[in-house]
This record gives sequence, C-alpha cells and structure tokens, in this order.
Amino acid sequence: MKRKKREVLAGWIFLLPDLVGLSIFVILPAILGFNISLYNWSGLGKMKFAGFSNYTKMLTDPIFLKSLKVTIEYVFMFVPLNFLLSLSLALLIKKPSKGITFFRTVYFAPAAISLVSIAFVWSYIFQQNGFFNSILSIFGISPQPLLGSMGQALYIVLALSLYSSIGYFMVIFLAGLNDIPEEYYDAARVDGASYWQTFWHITFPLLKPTSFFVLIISLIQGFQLFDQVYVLTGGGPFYATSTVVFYAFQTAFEYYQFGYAAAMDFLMFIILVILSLILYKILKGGEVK
Amino acid sequence: MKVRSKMLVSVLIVLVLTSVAVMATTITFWKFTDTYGDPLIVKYVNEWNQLHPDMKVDFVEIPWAQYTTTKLSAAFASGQGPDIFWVSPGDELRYYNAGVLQSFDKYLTPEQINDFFPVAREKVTIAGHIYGLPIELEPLAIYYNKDLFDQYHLSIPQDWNELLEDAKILTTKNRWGLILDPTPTYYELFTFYPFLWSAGGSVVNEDWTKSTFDSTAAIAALTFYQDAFDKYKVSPKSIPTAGTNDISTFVSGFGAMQECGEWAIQMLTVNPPKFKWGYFPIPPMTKGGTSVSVMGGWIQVVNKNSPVVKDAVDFTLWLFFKTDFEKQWCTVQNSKLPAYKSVYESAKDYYDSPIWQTFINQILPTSKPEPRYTPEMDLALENALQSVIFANVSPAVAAKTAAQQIDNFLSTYTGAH
Repeated sequence: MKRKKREVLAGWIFLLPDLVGLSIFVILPAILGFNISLYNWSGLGKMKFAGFSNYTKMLTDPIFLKSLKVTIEYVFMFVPLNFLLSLSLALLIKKPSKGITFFRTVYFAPAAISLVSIAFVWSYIFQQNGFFNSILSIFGISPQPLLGSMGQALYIVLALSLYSSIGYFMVIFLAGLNDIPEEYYDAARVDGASYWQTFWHITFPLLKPTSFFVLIISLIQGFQLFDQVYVLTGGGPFYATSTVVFYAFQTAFEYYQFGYAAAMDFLMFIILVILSLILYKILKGGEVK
Repeated sequence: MKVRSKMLVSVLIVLVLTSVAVMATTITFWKFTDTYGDPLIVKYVNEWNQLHPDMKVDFVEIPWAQYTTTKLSAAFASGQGPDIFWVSPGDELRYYNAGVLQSFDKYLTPEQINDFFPVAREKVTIAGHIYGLPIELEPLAIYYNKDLFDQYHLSIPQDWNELLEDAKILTTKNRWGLILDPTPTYYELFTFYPFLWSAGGSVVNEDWTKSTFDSTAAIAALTFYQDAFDKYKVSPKSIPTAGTNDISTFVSGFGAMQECGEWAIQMLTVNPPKFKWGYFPIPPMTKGGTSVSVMGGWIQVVNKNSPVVKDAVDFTLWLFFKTDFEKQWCTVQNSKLPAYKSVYESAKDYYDSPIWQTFINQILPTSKPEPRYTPEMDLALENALQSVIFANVSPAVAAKTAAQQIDNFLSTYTGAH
C-alpha cells in the first residue's frame, strides 16, 4: 500500500469512533425523528401516517407560534448579551493582578453548578414575596409580580441563563485572548494607540475564531432553552416563557402527540442548521485574514 | 462430537434455559419515588419475593418528574413497559385507549368488588370493566392557619365570597391569603374541579358528544379564579418549586390557607408547623349550596402485553387482598382514605380521630371521582384557566374558547370515556 493511501486509511480509522458515535446518537435519531414527524402517534399503540400534516398544523397552532416568538425573542437577547458580558469579564480578569484568581473563580463558579439547582433556588428568590422584592423594597420600589408576570418572567429566565453561562464563555474568551501575541500590543503601545484603538484593531479581529465559536454555541444554546423554563416557570405564565423545545416536550410527554412534537423538533433542527450556515458565511468560518 | 464438547453444549443450554426461566418470572413494578410510602412497598415486595423465589418482583422507584412525563411513555413507546405500574385516574384513559391495561374482571370475586367504595369502583371502571385496583381516595380541602384566623377573628368561610374576603384580610406583604395552583398542569385542573362542580358546572355531556363548559357555572368558577389571582391578588401567580400539592408551602408561612389533599395530614402531624392548623371543606359557590370535592388517588394497573400478566395480577391481588398493605399504606405510612370498606372498618380507631371527621362526614359524601379526560381536553381547560389568571381574558370568552376546542376534538374522537 502506498504511503498516501496508508495515511488516508489511518485518517479514516481515527475518525471512525466519532463517525460511529455521530451516526448512532445524532444522525440516526434525526432520521427516526423525521420519520415519526410524519405520523400521528400517542406513544402507545399504532402509528397513523399523517404525511406533512404535523408541519402544516404548526402554522395554525397559536401556542406553537407563541413559543416560536418567545424563542426568537430570547435568542435575540441571549446571544448578544452573553457575548458582550462574557467578553467584558474576560477582558476584566485577563490582566494578572492581586486577587484576580478569586474573581476568576467567582465568575466561573455558576458555570460549575447544576443549572437545575440554581433554577430551584431562583424559583424562591423571584417569588412575589421573595428575596428579590425585599431588596427592591429597600429602594422604595413596589413589589413586582416577577415569575407570575407575563412581562417579566422571560427576563428572569434570561438572567438565569446568563448567570450560569457567562462564566464558561468567559474562560473560552480568556483562552482566545491569551493566544494573541503580546508583541502586537507592544507595537501598538509604541505607536501610541489608545486602549479602544488596540481593542478594535488588534483584540477584536484576532478573537474572530473564538467569537465565531461563542456565537455558534450560544445560538444553539439559545434555541435549545429548556432546563431553566422547566424548573423555573413551567412555560408559564400563560406561555410567556414557553419555548419551542419546551412546547415540544409538553406536546410529547404531557399531551402525548409524539408525531407533532417530532415535527417541531425537526423544524428547529432545520432552523438551527440554516442560521449556523448564515453565521458561518458572515464570519467566514471564523477565519482571521 | 467429543464428550467435552457435548458437556460444554449441555452446560450452555442449561444456562440459557435457566436465564430465560429467571427472566420470564421477574415481574417489574414501576412507581414514582415517594419517601414516605415506598419503604412499605419494598417491605411487601421482599415478603412476596421470599414466598415466591421463582416469581420475583423487581420494584423500581422513578423520580416524580420523570415518572409523570418521559419514563413511562418512553418505555411503552419502545415496547419496554413495566408489568405493573401506578397510574393517575386522569391518565388511565390514555393507557386504556392504547390497549395497555389488563382487565381485572375475571380475577376479582364479587366479594372483592363489593369491598370497593362506590367512588373507588367508579375510578377503575372503564366501559363497564375494571382495570386495576384503586390504592387510595384523595379528596381535597382547604388547610388554614388557626392562629391567624383567631388573630383576625375570622370564621370558616361558607361560600366563595367569604373565602375571598378572608383571604383578603390574611394577605400581607409577606403572606398570601389563599394558595391555589397557578401552574399549567393536570394538578391545576384537579384542584379546579371542586370549584367548577360546586358551581354546578361540568366539562362535557354524558355521552361525550358536546362540551358543557360554556356555561354560567364554568364562567363563575373561572371568575372566582380571576378574582383570587388577579382582581384581589390574594393568590400567588407563581409558587415555589415544591408546588401546591406539597403542604410545606403552607407550613413555611407562604400562605394562610392552601387547597390540598388529605395526604397533608401526615406531613402536618410528623413535622408540625409552628402554628395551630385545621382544614375545612372547599366552600360552595353560595351559602347553603353543596360543597363538592374531587376524589383523586392512584391506581395499580397491570400491563396487558406483559409476558407475566397472570403473575403480575396475582401479585397485585395478593398485595391488596392477602396482606394488610392497604391499611398500613393509608394509616401508618400516609394519611389517606382507603379504597376498600373492609380496610376502613378495620382501621376505625384511626379514622375515628377528630382530625378525620370533616373529611369523612362532610367532604367524602359529596366528593366526585377525578375525571379522566384526554390530553387534548385537558389542554383546552388549562388554557382557559391560564388565560383568566394571567392574560386577563374574560371568563366568558375563556369558557367559550375551551368548549369550542373540546367540541372540535370530540368531533373526531372515537376512544372510550
């Protein structure tokens, strides 16, 4: 066997475990999920072929449309805020100084705690007669309905998501920042560049691969919002925090319409693939010129 | 074939046959995790396993959130459902319609059937046949803080108006007057039915051809909820994760009154709050009307498609009719009303205690079994409740919308009721 062929074979052998895993746990379930979406099925008994009716049903289902709206609103808030806050924290703690390890630990700690545990505690803090309103009352602000408000509940879910995720993305940004050669900053300093000029012309462009990763992952996280909603609000009040993934879960495991739930999930999969491709195109895959 | 090979093949065959035999006589029994009750079930399962070493029961406890959502559904969807499991009355119909439930008709003697309390028998009867054994009866009442009632010189409310008036007085910056369930779940519906029924309302007609929810009674019940949650703000629109079926919410001082079941008596007795407590029937809509509670309670059912269906039925009958499990379950491990007359009689001392008298003499006689609607009908009702509580939708519109949704569903529904 020629050397090149041997190398190709070795490459495939190295890829094999991943390919097998992906096929069994991602590709096959996706195909099966799409198959189920073409049927009406209660999870028990026989499946009835329904063609694409589960997909057309979504167009006239007010709860699905509401959940889609909530999901998009959430993603539009979560992705940029998560990006800005985690980047800001990374910049803050990058420079070694006294006690910086303490702050790094504090900022990262929520990412290491179970999201469900945090949500459980928050469900008490954000009760109408909970701790948060006690703090507001110190400043003379009247008690807010918080988790019981259709207008406020989603912001609490958003705050919880940010609280638990920015520590993780901060570490990712920190790794990206540390990869930027110090010589570039020295040269900029010699040229008399200000902090903002250095940031916009050196840091931000060279962070492009990291930014691309953070944006893609947080976009996926945003569209897959579930745990926080499940523990904190149950999708309420009156669907104010019901995301597509949560509604699909309810549809499958509370209303027992597995075909319809699979159709929702498959649609979300398509949306995510399209958005990821668009982001890839815009950011040119995170390449740095 | 050489002798050694023959021996090896023989040993393998014996091993395979033995393992098949062992597998065939294992009865899987699934139930949600319940720290109060499960040790008792484990005790009786062990007893059964000692008596029947060739037909063992494998008892599996599953966390509540998984049991009521993903676990059972996923197991049955993949053909791996347990042989025995517990199901709530509200969920029983789905399993029946899917042909999963084993009828107990031919296994029960007339004496055993007659031992059921009528309301318990109604719970397990679908289309004239008995599916499973009732485990308990769980009516709802309103628990209240006696110290606060004394402090504000309040008396037991006799109608919805008085209930709201008391709740208004008891509501402070740090305390809710009346805890009702605001979460969009089956439990919310379970706790709503007493109000609907007390007003004389219903969800669907007798033969399930038309919804009866668009009625003055349903509108009155929805209005009561809107008043409590929105107009007078005496009920919390969000509750701690523990939920309103957990009396610890009341014990913690979160609310002065809470709608909850008789299972709370045990918890309030074992971990008494710092205040004196009591309970009263959910008041009727108007003074002099009838208070109607809802009668919940789980049912032990057998998977019709189980390879050990007869053994699973035998274990279930043994547990309920040959041991004192039911008595222990209701009076020692929990505080429940039994589903069987004989158990009630044998535990008369326990139920003669003053704390039980309101449940037995006032609530039980007028209680109705928890209805079993389809998920589609439940969703319509949940939406009606959620819309009046949170979206300020007029109760009349909510009732009408729910009735239309139910009618649309019923027009194509062919299952049982």
